[in-house]
Amino acid sequence: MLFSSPTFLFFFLPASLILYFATPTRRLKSLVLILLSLAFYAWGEPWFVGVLVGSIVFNYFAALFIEGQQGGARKLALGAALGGNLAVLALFKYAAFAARSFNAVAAPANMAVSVPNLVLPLGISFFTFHGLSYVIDVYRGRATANRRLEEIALYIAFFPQLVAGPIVRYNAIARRLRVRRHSFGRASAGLRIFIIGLAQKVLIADQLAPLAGALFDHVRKPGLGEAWTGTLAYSLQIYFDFAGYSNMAIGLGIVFGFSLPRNFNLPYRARSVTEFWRRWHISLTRWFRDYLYVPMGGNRGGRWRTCRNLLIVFLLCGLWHGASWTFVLWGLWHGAFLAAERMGLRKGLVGVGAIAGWAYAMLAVMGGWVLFRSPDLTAALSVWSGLVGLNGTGAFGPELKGAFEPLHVGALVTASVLAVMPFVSRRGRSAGPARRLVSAVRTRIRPAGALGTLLDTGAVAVLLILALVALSGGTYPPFLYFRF
Amino acid sequence: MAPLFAPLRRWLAVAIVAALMFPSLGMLATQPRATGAAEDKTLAPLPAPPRSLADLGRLPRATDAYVGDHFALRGPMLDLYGGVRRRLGVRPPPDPVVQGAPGWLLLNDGLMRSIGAEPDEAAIDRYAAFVCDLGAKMKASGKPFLFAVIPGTAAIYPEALPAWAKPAVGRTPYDVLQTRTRDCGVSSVDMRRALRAAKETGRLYRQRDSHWTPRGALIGYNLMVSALGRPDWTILPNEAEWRSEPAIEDDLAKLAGIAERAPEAVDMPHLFAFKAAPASPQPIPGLRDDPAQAAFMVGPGGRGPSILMIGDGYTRPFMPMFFAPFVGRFSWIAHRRCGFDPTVFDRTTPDYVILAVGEREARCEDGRPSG
Repeated sequence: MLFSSPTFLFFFLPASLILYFATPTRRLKSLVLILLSLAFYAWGEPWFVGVLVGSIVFNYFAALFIEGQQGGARKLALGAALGGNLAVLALFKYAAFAARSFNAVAAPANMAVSVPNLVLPLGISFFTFHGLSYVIDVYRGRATANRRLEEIALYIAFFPQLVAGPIVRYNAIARRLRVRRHSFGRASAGLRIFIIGLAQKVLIADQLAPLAGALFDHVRKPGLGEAWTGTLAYSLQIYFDFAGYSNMAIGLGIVFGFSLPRNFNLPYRARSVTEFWRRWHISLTRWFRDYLYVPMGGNRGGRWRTCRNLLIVFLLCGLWHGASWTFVLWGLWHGAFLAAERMGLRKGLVGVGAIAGWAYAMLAVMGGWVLFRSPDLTAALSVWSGLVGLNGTGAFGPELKGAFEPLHVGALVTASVLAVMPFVSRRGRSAGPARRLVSAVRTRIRPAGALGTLLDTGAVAVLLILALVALSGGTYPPFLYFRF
Repeated sequence: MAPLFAPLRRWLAVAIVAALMFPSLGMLATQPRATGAAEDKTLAPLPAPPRSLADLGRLPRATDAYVGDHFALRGPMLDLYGGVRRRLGVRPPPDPVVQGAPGWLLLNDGLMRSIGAEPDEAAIDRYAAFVCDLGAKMKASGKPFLFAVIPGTAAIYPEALPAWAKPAVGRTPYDVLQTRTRDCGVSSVDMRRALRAAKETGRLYRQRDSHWTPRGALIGYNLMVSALGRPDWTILPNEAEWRSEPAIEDDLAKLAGIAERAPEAVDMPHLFAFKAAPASPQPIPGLRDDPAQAAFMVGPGGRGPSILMIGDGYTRPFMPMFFAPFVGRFSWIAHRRCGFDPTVFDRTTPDYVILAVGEREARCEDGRPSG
């Protein structure tokens, strides 16, 4: 089910809230949330509820088993738990990719294996990472194995973050599975963030999609202007799409008494690729840091080992996003920039000034998005050629021209401003009126006084109305991160 | 004032939930409609109770479609949506299909040009330059070259036009293109007079599709072979046995969303009772594998002249079967608004080259170089 679909907004969400708040005890509330989460998942993937339930049960017992072991047996138990989780992910997500890759390599030797035709269960990458987080935290002793199956089910299947995150580490949320506070104030604050996320998705990201789609889906040899317009549109689309979804999830989390972690912090203000990854998909970056990068040695083994670790982590990060060579290359692309910054590039950037550093980071990130969005390397090369002017600097072709509506251009300009504009001044004071108005589409605002409260509430109401109106005429495109 | 509003703000959640419930409660209280007049579409029906596991699997999608089409206030919201978009300068996409005289559907693209209501001299000049350039290249290589523009439905059946579209009275882009290409020495066929004259023999253009019928195509073929100086390749309509058959595709009906109705019947020629059936189309060796550059050839070559036709949907289904009995090889490549793979000449070594395109396709892509 999509957060931005009429079924969710007009039926599922109000019914969920009424049912949840009408349920008397915390434990019953948890059961209601689990049932709602399973229904939410079944709505999109009826036949894969079994995979989700299997993951919950498997990790529940795996953690109990790990906790009861010591020494080598404990390590072995963890290995088995990791293997079980990763095997399911590998089967559904990577088996076909591996088979196709093998067939391509083995073709000269007339060897081939059959390519499995499996449908990818929605959100499998996210709920598998939740399961891994739980068993690893128990293994490390940072959390105790939970005897209550319903709490593990809620941790893994909680519907606001089930299919596209944020990825919450178990030890960060364990307490909230048992003790949660509810109030109308919290529910109001959460729904306000939810509406802002909805507006980011529907009013900005979806309006940028035609420009990005025109470049990546229709133009074969984009000129300079076409390539930059389309790439900028996609860079902003994926940010507002994913940040919008994250805000909707965070908002719903607050409504139900949870505190999901912030997932984005103005990533397009970064002045290096390293800083970008501290601001982009923060929950995933932290997951990889805590459960992969640091255990591999992190930056403790000298510069070369650090670079190796970064390349491996980002190669896997690319693979996590999708079973395709373009995602692998996208991961390596970022890994290479991070490694280069570790080797000295970052020090060099300090000397060239803030704007040059920002420009470098944006070029690296946008160049990466070309790989991320292109269906194959040939298409990515064509867009890269366009970006450097190798396909000419001529006028827009009919595809881009057709998508270049004033509304889409307006969305492009608005999104560009919102993506880089801070809403609180550097000294910590509240921003001026113009910025505060703009900040209505941001998640954090501290309305000061009656006027501020009125303005903020009015802005939220307008955003909700505009988003619903836009949805009424739309086709409810899915969130981009659903496919990962 | 702040203390006055702060306690009220905590009730925002209640207001939001009430606002979100309004469309659902309103929907449950009203009678569902079958069609949305403003959108010109059939609305999703109420999902039937599932009777099998497969039905159960489809139920969420069917419910989403139903809710999306029937939630309360959808009509006013759609009006507001359209109004806001218009104010923001968004042009509504034109309907691809125009309802013509009773029984006729017409393709919107190119309709106004066809009746001379949208003279676009620059576009005609660009296309004429493309044809003249191609003609000069063929002349230099010693290959007979023929250019044929296949008129649109409106040019042959002005009675099919809707009331608001008047038939052409002055010079149309078709006329101008004929003049420009003849001026540069290209042999150019004007099919309009012959087609109009043959209307009494049977339907020449489809009513629910944007192309001509096989009967119209045969007349066009005869005009082309005559202009090539090969009247011996002519096929007289009475040499074929004509049988009325349901059309395989009605592109306009599909675009208009009424393809489920009974398909249009067309007269199909059965020529092969007395002439050899053409071999199956084969890919042209070495031509890049690009769907936009669809190309194929019929016949092994060697036993007669080789023909290369640069064409579109008007010629692709018919010309291979008309040419096949007379030529050693017939090759066909898609014309994509002045674009096609130029290596096709080396790969097919044609004795004759024909550029035959529908009137609406006789344009180069905007802002793109020809070739």
